[in-house]
Amino acid sequence: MKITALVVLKPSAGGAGGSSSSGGQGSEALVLANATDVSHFGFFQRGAAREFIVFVARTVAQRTQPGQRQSVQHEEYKVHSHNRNGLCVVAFMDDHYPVRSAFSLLNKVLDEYQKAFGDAWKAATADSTQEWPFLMEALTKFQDPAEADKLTKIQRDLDETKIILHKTIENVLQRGERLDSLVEKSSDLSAASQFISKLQRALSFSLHIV
Amino acid sequence: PNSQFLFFEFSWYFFELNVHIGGWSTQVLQILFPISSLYNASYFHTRLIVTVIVLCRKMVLSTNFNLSHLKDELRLCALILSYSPKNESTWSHRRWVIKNLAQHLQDMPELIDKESLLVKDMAEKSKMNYRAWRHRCWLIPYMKTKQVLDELNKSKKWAELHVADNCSFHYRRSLLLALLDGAANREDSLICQSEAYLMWKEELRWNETLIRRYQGRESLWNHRRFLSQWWVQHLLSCEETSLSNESLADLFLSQEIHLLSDCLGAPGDEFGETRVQVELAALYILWISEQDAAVKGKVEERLKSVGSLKEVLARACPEKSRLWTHLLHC
Repeated sequence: MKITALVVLKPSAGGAGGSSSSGGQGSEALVLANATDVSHFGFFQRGAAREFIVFVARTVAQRTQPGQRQSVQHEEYKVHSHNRNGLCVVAFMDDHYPVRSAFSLLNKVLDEYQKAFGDAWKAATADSTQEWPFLMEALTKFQDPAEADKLTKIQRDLDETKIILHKTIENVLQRGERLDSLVEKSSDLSAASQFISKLQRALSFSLHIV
Repeated sequence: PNSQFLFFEFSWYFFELNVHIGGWSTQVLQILFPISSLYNASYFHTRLIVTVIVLCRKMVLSTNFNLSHLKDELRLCALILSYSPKNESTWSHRRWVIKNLAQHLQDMPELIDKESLLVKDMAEKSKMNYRAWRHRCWLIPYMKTKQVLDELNKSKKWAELHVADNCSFHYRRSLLLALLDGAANREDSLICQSEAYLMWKEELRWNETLIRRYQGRESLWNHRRFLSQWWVQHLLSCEETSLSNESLADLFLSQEIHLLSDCLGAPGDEFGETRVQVELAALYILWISEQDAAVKGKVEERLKSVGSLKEVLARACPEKSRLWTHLLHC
C-alpha cells in the first residue's frame, strides 16, 4: 500500500478559482503543510511529480466544500480530500488503500494539525514554509491501512457522511473550467512540467516512463 | 537514456572480464554494440542483446569453469534485472548459475536468503512480476524446513501490503505445499506435520483478517480456496479416527458461512467494492461445496440460514444470472 503524499491546505474563501472577469488568476487554496514520497519515480521525474502533486492538491482542495468528503481517481492514484470547517487535508494513495481507512487518516491529520498550530492557519495569506515532522512520519506509519483502522474513534461519523466519488479530475472542476487552462495559469508547475502535461495529454503516456 | 547507460556498463564489464573469459564472446558483443547503437537501442534491441549475451556466456562458462566467475554472473544478472526485471533469459541464466553453485557451495541457505531478498526488491519495483516470483518458487526445493518457515514469516508483511499481487500469495502456497511434502517424506516428519497444521491454521485466520479489511480482492479469495480445500479434507480425515461427537469440519464450514453472511450484510459503498466482495464470497462457498459430495451436503444444510446459493448469487450479480443457473445445475 502506498501513500504518495499528504497535503494540508486552506481553501480560499472567495470560492473556486477560475478565470475572473478581469482575466486575472482565480484564487486557489494555500498550502499549509506538505509531505511527499516520490522515491518510486525515476530520478529525473521526481521534481515534476512533486509539482503535479501540489497542483492537484490545490485544485481538489479548492473545490471541496466545508464538511465535504470526496475521492477522485487520477491516473493510478486515488486522491482523497476532506474539508473540515475550512481546513482541508488531501491524500494521494494507491488504488488498493481502503477508502474508509484513508478518511480515518485524514481525520487524524486534521486533529493533529489543530493541536500543533491551533487556529493560526485562519490568518494565512500565503503558502507556509513551516516544517511539520508529524506529516512525514504519518506518511510512513500509515502505509499499512491496519494502522489507520486503529483510529476508529470517528468511525461513526464516517458511516453517516457520504463520500463523493469522481471518476476523473475533470469532474471535480466547476462548470466551464478546463484542466488545461488551470495548468497553464498555475504557478506551481514550471514551464517544463506544463509542457510535459500537454505532451501527456496529447500522447496519453503515463507519468512514469521508466 | 536508460539503454545507453546499460550499454556503457556492459562494455566496461566485458572489458574487465575479457581477460578471464576469453576473447570470443567479447568480440561477438563488439560487433553487436555498434549495430544496436545505430538503431538507437530500442527496448526490443535491449532484450535481444541481453538474450544473446546470456547465451554466449553460458556457452563460454561451461567450458571455462570457475567459482568466482559464477558469482560474477550473479552480479551481472542483478545488473540486467535492475533495468529489465521481467527478462526471462536472465532469470533462467541465474537459475543455471545457482544450480552449478549448489554443487560446490556449503552455505546454500545464505545464498537462498540473498536470492529471496533480490526477488523481493525486484517485486517492489515491478509489480506482478510473475517471472521473479517463479524464480523464488524455484528456490524452495533447496530450502530446509526451517528456511521454509522463515520464508513464510518474512514474506507475510509484503503480501499484506500488496494484496492485489497474486504472485506473492502463490509463493506462500508453494511454501505451504513444501511443508506438507516435508511432513510426508522426511525423518523429522512429525515436527514438520505439526508445524504445517499450525501454519495452516494461522494462514486461514490471517487470510480472513485481510478479506475483511480489503473488500473485493480476488487474490485473497483465491488463496482462501486453496487453504480451505486442504483444511476441510484434513478435518474430515481426522473425524474418521476421532471419537468425539463434535465435527470440526462442520464447525469450520459454519464459520465460512458466517463470513459469507457478514459480507452480505455489509453496507453498500460508493466504489462498488462491497458488491464485488459479495460475489466473490458466494463463488467461494459454491466452489468449496463442489469439492466433495460430503462437503456439499454440509454446506447446503448450513446455507439455509442465509438463503440458497442461487438467491445469494442472483442478489450479488443479477446480470450473470444465466451463468449462475448453469453452474448450480451441474
